[in-house]
Amino acid sequence: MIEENKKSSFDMRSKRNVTVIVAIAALAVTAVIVSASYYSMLVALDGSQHPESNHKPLETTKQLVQNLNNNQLNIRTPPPTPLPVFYGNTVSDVATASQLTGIQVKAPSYLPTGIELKMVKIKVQSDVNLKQVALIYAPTSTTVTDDWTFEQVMDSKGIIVIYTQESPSFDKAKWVKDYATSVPGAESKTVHGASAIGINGDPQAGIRSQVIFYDGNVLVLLVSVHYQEAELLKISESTPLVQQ
Amino acid sequence: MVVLMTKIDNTKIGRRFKITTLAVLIPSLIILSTTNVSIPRAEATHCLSHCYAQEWQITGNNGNHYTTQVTDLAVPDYCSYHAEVTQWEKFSNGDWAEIGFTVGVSKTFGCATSEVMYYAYSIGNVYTDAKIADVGIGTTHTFEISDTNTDKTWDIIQDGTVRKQVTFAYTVASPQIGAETTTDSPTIPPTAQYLIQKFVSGSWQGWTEGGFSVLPSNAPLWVKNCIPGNAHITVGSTNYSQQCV
Repeated sequence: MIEENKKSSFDMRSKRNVTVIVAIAALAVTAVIVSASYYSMLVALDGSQHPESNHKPLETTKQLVQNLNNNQLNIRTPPPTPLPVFYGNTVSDVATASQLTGIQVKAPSYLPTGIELKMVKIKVQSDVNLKQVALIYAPTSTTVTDDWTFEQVMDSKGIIVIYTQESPSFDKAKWVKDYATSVPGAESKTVHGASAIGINGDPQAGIRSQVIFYDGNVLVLLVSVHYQEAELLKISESTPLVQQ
Repeated sequence: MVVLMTKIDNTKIGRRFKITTLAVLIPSLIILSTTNVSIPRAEATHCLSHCYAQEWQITGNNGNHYTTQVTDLAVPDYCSYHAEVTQWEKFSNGDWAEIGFTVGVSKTFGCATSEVMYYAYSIGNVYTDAKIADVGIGTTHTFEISDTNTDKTWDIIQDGTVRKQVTFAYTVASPQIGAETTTDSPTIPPTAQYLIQKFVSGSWQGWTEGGFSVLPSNAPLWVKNCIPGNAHITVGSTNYSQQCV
């Protein structure tokens, strides 16, 4: 009888242990499922509307984790900026822009497949000595309107090329050196054999790439989220110099 | 003995039943409670993508400054959200700088549970923010971002002291001024931003034109244009009535 009792007690403890282990395992699995759902919801919410973002619907676990790491909740960032605020009025073509600003603009001859010139804008403001022409490129199927923002052009896989007249007294060589050495991510490059600056972004994280070079006294800056530095350099090399 | 064994068996069955029930019940409750919390959150959290109340100008400048009296800002969780009263200077290539006072989470200064003066900027492909100092509610401060000598090195200035110099690509920037938050439930008491001035033609001048917007349109923030003109605004959250201060 004692043996039977011992055996019965052992069986009871053994079964109880198995049940407890099953319960813990069930809790662990549930916790993992709940955490994954919660994170994916947070990431989807966070990435969907951020003004500088280029986020797409979540596709893979890797992307989910990347987006979590890049989440924008602890970052302060300005409101989106409508195109007329940055670049002024729309004009019919590049020749008109050149005529109205005095900046001899030649558009690039090379463009990535599938994008085209959507808008030419000029901004002239005498109280700050500003003369600027902006060429706004976007995918062929996209319609860009004046109520678009800079961020929307970036998100639509667009490219903006900005020509800005510098003051005659501006020390361009010093600025190029200062900018290339002080700006994080900036690297010295050459365009048309002259000093230029390249900044490589990250399309997945919504970070802009840029190429900056001088054509005479005109600063030419190309910016895009979708197209990275190498592609912007190709476009830059295809942009004829007119100022010399 | 038979009675004793029956009792043992009953106790054994009872424990197994309880443990099995808990194993099913607890995960179910967790799933149900999370689901119930998640759905309303997904529908309501538009400020996770940042909400704004702002005044903006279509004309550029070589600098902008404003004066404000610090108010008691609050967010539901200081390590998850932030709220600030600030001004932004944005450049044609998407770079920008801002300065003001804030509470809440930050990339570099942690979870600010009381008001701090701060600046932030994005240049090239890198974002930077920094705490200037703790600041008392009711104190008055002037914040400025400017490149008055047009050498493209912009000064970020608090009460006349240069806190940071950053070399941007341009001498001209587009100004915006107002409030920002990442929570749907911010507390921003009516806060004045006044003596708003831009640096153009070599001198400081008041804003004479400006547009106003709340983004998105259902954001829990407001901005009010106060007399005189566009050089004095008041911002706040919607749990306060709209009034100029």
